[in-house]
Amino acid sequence: MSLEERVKKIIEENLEEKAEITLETDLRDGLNLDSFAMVLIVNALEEEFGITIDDQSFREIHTVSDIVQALKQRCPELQESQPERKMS
Amino acid sequence: MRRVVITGLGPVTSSGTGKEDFWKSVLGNRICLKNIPENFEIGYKYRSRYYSPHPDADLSGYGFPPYYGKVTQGEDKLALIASSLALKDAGFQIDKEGNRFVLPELRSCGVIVGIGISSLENGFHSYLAHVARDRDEIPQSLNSVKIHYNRMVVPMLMPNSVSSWISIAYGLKGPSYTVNAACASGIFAIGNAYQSIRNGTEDVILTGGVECLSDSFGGVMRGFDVLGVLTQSPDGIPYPFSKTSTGFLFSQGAACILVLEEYQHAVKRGASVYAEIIDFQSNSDAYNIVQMDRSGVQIKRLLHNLKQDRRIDYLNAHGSGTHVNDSIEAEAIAEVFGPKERQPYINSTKGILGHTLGASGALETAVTALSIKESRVHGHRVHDPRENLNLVEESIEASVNVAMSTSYGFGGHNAGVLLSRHDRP
Repeated sequence: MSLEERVKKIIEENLEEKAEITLETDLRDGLNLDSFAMVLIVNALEEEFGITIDDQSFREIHTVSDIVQALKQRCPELQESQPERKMS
Repeated sequence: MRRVVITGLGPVTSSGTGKEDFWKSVLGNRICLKNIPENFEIGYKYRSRYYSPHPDADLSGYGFPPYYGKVTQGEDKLALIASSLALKDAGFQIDKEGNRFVLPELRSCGVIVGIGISSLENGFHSYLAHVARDRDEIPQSLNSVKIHYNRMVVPMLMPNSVSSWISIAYGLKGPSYTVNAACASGIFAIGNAYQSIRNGTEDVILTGGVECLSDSFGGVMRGFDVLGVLTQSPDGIPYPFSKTSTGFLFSQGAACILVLEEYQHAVKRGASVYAEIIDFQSNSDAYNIVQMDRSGVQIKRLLHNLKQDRRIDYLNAHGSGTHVNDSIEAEAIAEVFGPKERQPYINSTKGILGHTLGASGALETAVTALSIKESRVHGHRVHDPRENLNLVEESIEASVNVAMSTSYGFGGHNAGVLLSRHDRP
């Protein structure tokens, strides 16, 4: 599974209501996610990729594509199906 | 006086999930056991060699939103599955609006669920992630586990989450809370629910008990093993009320939700009734945080208050299989009911399911209600039975009109319910 697909899957699994997710989907303005919903997504990303996400940097994230780009920068080894790191 | 009846059962156990499967397993004495695995004994040698695993806690297939699976622990999942089964069993109309269930008849329904200890593994892992600067500081034995500080650790660990998730999932806006009285949690929850309906506060309450003490390395089970309360029988079967009983079979988890309903409310909607609850009594040993009071004085008082001058056909005893507790309980039963021939049929469901702790009182109340409804009393395996008890060793057919279920928890919490055929004269 590509990194893009993994991120989309994580977001879909953690939404209260079903929604179609694309790379251009805006989490706050497009999905109307509140702070609790954002915590769920951040938590799931941290667990999946074995990282700790800084709250301030996540506030600058708007779209699914932003998450993917941030992950690529943060963890260059995360391209295609990479083994997961267990912890930050 | 408002009457309170049981109209739905949702048992979830390793021996059977759903009323039919569960009841068949109990009548058939189907015990689910596993050997202590190697990874439980990295730094400790268990005295007890067996445990009963928790049942499948997969929420998919029950219609809950997928994200529930990500933010709930085992006890929440088991409680949600049990509530789904109980509501369906009670015959309530369940609609869906978007991702949420809607129950038009139950908007003000209450939820009161008992739990002993919530699952601790998320807490342990989050604490490790908090104190370790990097992966190298995590013990190698945890290499197979994803250690991560879970941002949901507080809502996951809070014991009230079991009741909250049921209310949230079904939009039930009556009082919703959790009761804790160790191994008597389930029966205290049922008692509270019974009193609320009888007093007119509510018409319908989802109640019962749940426990899920499963962790990857058996660290929580060790806490019971070191107290010397777990069975050391060579085959892992606890044989409650045997002269040679050595302790209880540890169950990693189970749940049972019951639908309690005001009788006229049940009649109006044409519900099928298992049994009527006609009394609830409770007291405390005020003696020791783990041990039962050896005099058994409070247990005798409890049994006496429940029995009064009634003929009791069946007693679902606490019957953990712990040698000293079995002795105290057996003596109390013999003193209150008299010699064996004057005693009700007696059994211990823990002899089959193991000790499901916070769930046990609810599962045993469900068994008692089924015994009344189906006129069957299950047996449990016994080796060299105590002579002063009218024990049922093989499942039998028997007319049960009035029956009692009792639970005694760590900390001296004693409670019991009295059930009756609802169409009694």
